[in-house]
Amino acid sequence: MFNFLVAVAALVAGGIASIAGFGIGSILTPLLALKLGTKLAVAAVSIPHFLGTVLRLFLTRQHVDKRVLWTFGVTSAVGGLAGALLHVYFASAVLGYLLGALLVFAGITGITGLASRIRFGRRSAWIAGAISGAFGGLVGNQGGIRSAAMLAFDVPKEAFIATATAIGLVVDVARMPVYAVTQAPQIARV
Amino acid sequence: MIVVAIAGVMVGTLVGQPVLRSIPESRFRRVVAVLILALGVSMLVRPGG
Repeated sequence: MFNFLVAVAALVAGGIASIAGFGIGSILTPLLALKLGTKLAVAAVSIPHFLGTVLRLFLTRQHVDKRVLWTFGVTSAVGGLAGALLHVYFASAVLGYLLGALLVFAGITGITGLASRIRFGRRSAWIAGAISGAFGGLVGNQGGIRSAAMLAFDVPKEAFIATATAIGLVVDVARMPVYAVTQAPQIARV
Repeated sequence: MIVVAIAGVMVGTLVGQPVLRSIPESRFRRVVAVLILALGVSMLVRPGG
């Protein structure tokens, strides 16, 4: 029964990620955490997350916006990795609530159209990438805040998804070896 | 369980591609914003944030 739930959740997560650039970790990690605990769930979910991201990037690769990737994307990935490393020492429920509040704010400004008045230039793209990446890494949920920050870039939808996916893949490639080294036996039993 | 998740994610990703194409460019950002809002709300109501 639980496997059926995972299958449905994974299907929905993959679909949402194709539309918004995030969703796999956000949906699957809490679900798998019910059975595995959060730490192992994060590591286990990184596998379907990585494979789904690779597939999504393959399907959208011609649309990657290199300008956004090499400004916002680089600092987002670096910030995300730094945040993920610090997560071990600074994990806190307060950060989770703060990120939730930020996402609610970003969602409301996006729905009302206020977000369209914000447009990142080169320098602000670097800074926005670093802050959103680091915060996402600290909390353990990077995709949502990354997509929220990317709403400020004036790029077509395909470029939005492709670029967000490319950034996410960089983070996946960097974090998965850490999980492999620290939790491989446990992941293999899932 | 991971195999099931992988299969579901891959199929969902493929299914999502035509859905993305069908979303008008003028609506896309609002769709993403709604999903971001939903994620934010879920983080606020979920125990532990």
